[in-house]
Amino acid sequence: MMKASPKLSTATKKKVVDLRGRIAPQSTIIAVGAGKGGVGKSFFSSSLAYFLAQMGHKTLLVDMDLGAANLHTWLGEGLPSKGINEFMKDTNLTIGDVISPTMKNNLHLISGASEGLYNGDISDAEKSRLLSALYNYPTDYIILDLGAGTHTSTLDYFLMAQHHVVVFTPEPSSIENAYRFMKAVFYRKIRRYGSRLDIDQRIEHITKNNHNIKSPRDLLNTLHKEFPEISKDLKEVMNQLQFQIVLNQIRTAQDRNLGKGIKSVCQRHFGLPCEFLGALSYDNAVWQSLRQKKHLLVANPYSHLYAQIMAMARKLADPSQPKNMVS
Amino acid sequence: MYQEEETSFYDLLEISPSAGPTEIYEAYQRARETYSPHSAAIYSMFTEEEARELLRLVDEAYSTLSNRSRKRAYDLRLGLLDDEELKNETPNAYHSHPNKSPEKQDSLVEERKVGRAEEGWTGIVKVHRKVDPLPEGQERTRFSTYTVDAQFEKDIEDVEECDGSFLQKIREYKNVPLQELSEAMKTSRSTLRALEENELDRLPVQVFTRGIVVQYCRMLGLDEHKVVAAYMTYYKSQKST
Repeated sequence: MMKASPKLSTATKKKVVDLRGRIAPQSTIIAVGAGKGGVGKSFFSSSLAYFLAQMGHKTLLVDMDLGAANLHTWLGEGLPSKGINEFMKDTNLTIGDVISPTMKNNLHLISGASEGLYNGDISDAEKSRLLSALYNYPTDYIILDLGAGTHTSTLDYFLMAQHHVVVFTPEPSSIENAYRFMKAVFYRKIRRYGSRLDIDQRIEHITKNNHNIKSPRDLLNTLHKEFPEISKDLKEVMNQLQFQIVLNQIRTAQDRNLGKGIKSVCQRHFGLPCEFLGALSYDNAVWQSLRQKKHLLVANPYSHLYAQIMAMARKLADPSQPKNMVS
Repeated sequence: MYQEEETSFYDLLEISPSAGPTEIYEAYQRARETYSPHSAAIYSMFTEEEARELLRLVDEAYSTLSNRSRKRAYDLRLGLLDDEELKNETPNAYHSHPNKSPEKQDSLVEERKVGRAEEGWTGIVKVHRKVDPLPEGQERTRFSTYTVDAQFEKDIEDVEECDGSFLQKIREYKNVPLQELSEAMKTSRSTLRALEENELDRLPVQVFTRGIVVQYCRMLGLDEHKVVAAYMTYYKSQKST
């Protein structure tokens, strides 16, 4: 047994409080975001959750698209009686109280649906309560299905995760929005977690001195060059942000290369390592199964998508945890 | 990990420095596609101008990494190769045949400038050459070794006018086979034979013949100005009669 050190210096305590990432979460959190709606965030997160559950991991799927939640429909479930909405209203409830089981073994859902006056706008304190409840909920995987757009709370949910999945489709509109979303995430990250490092003043200093800054990468490079004293901490903070790219609805083989291209561009633009998780084929089976109110992987297990999603789930899954491929 | 410094060509093409030619080519094709002006991947991320600049860099990266000697020079500049590695590296065919080396020293370290200076990536390559020492009284050409005959050397030095048979005599004195000479000069054996046997009708026009003699002298390590002038004097006198 390791003994806890008897006295923590105030500086250490402060550090722990400042950097949420330093306190280990009780699960592996995967956030799925994209700038644009309709690119397949809910489809991807529900499928990913399905596979992780199939692999024997306890998985919690959370619908964070608070204004327009419909994840239960993707899973072929009825509208759950409780969800984030109830959790917000009643401070006595724990996150465990609003979890509903699904037809799939190991897979649980927290719905974001609400039909009242409540429309998804939550205060910072409420947001903080929700985030820390999720952060401390003990399970294997938590998958956050985010809403479209670059609202601050969306960015915060996204940044809370250890895996940052961004869903693209091969259309310029989707690519543009996804890039915008990633930029917003980047700046949110650097400002929020960099407050300890006085990033704001430093950035102001840099912009005053007319450095040629065109991209986040230039900004990071300049910060490192100008302020070597924060270089190590900044590196640590920024290296937590590694985008994982999924290209959905591809129709040709060239689209697959586009995924790799997007990865290269992101790496170049942000100066951070990115990963291309994989591409998902366009398949009419998706909306057909949605109409049948069943999940694709249940209604159409012979779709190409089955193998493609499984490969991604395996990539994301922690190899140290038990897997059972035959359910 | 997060990259601080200006990236290398390897980072640009997203390959490791140990990547082989096929890998480099594939990476190049992918990068070209990604940064081409109509690529969807750069949409809204880079301006057209930035994309063009990136494309230029990608081309430059490929032209450097696809060429063995340029790649070496570049690796050296990046500090990917050190002197130790250079020494242990398998020498190329030219260096592995000491007999074929025109150098006389036992071993020499040459500094060679490699690359195009205006592009700013000129590297200096240290070439280590090991040459076996020769016994006393022996010399070498690029093809062979031979015993020095002081009298004949003097004859060559003092030559005023000479014909093809004199050239042949020098060649045989230096133990250079016609076949090897012909391959190195990229000139057919029949032409060389015509030169040596003074069959001027079978030789090309004057200017080309002169060129052949220049090459011939260089290959044998002769004083090309003197010998060529001597031969051309003979050639012209034959043609005018």
